[in-house]
Amino acid sequence: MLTAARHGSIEDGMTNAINERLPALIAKDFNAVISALVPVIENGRTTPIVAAEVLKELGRIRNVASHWSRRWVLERALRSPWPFTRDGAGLGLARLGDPGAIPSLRRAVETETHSQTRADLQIVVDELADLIPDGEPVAKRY
Amino acid sequence: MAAADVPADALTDLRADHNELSVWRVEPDLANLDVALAALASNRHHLDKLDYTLLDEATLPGIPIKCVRSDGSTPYLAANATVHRDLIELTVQKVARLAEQMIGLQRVRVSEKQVERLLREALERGALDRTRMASKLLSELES
Repeated sequence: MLTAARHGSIEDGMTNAINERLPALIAKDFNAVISALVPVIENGRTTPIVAAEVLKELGRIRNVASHWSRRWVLERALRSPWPFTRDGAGLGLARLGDPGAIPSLRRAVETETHSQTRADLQIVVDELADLIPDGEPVAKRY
Repeated sequence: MAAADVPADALTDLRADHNELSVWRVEPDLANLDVALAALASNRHHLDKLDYTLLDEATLPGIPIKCVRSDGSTPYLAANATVHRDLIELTVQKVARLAEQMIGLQRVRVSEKQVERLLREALERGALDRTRMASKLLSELES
């Protein structure tokens, strides 16, 4: 899947090898898939654009059983050395729609050195905060 | 930065087809920006964020790049006819000089949620031709 993605075209909103194949792989055995993906993403064994696409898709997948594992991967990837990968992690967390990730995202915003990525991560924080229904400050809940 | 020094990655989003690039003309007061964004997003397979850069068209003749009115092929028919443009007769050097102009400009992000809202509103207005939309995108918007 990753090799196919690297040789193919990855464009926002368009079908590619990752968004075509990853959901089925996660549904089949998310533990094995996530265990295999983490070192690839963290050790830079694929390109940042492919890693970012994997992270975006991990957030998009609707699979309750793997929710926590996927959130764990996404939060870890916020500390990637590559801005593109950190951005992908933020986009994945936005799609995951879990306000529980807000503290990790806030820390990422505080330490982010790339101004554009910092602004993009802040958008994710703001959107996830909007998901909290009763208007209670996020800091009190998470 | 000279055109020859533009990082190759900057050209990824400037992939010409038949030596042409599809662009959207936004009014100076941004009045039709949402129309252009909805048109772009409606032509995709599924919901996603959208990043864009606004380039002053006055910079094009200096490159020199020709910008002509042309019909777009998105599901947003009114936008195709009025807002869409093509940059034509492009060469590698012209695209590199275009990238050189764009590299210092601000990239603006429209989040996936904002894209979803734009598309839902366009659908409700009847602005989008559903028969031209990808089935996955349509089902995401109608779920």
